[in-house]
Amino acid sequence: MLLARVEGHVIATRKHPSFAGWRLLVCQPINNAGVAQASPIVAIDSLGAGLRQRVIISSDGAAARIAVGDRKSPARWMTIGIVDETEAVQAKNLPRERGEIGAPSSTRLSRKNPAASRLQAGAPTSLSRAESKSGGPA
Amino acid sequence: MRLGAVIGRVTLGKTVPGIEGARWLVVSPFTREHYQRGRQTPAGLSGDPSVVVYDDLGGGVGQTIGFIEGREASEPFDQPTPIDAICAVLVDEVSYHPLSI
Repeated sequence: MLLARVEGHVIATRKHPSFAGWRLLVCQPINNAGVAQASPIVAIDSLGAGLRQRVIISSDGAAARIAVGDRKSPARWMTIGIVDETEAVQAKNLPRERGEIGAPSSTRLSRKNPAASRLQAGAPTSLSRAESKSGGPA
Repeated sequence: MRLGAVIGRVTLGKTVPGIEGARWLVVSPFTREHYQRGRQTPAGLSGDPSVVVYDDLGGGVGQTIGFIEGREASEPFDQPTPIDAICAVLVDEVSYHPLSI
């Protein structure tokens, strides 16, 4: 499975019959910072992922054949999820030796996500988030 | 599935049983730079090695196709077939809006 960003779609009239009606998305594999990593991959999509959205794509052909409902389909790559946010441990924060004390600190990479920035500030639980939605914390 | 430009054809004289008379295309896979050009054949070949692809859709030289690599390529066949790349899509149009990072 790869983290990828949707960068377009493909239109094709003549294709294997199992692809009829399926969206074909151009998915650019990216790293955690959003930098392109390899050549784009075209994947079938049932989730309705939009342009620039981040998705997880899987190369499991058996699952793709079940999804398209054709036992003899060559389908391989398909989107299996739309990414809300990712979390990464920066390499410099990883423990250097086994047994080193202290959990590595993490960096959240989500853009403009107020819930994530609150989490980063270290405050809330899911309960207090629910409260703030209904009227703000006391 | 990857996209690529058909840059040639292959004809086989002698084959293993099951794939006699098949069409084979030589395909130059698109890299990120090539996607910008849509249906046009890229001016230069990509740095990736070219692939020979089984074709039953009727792709021709100069066209853009989508091909599937791996074990899945032999799924459409009734009996086990030693094929690991198959043309699955003849591309009409590519809409591509990259994010430049």
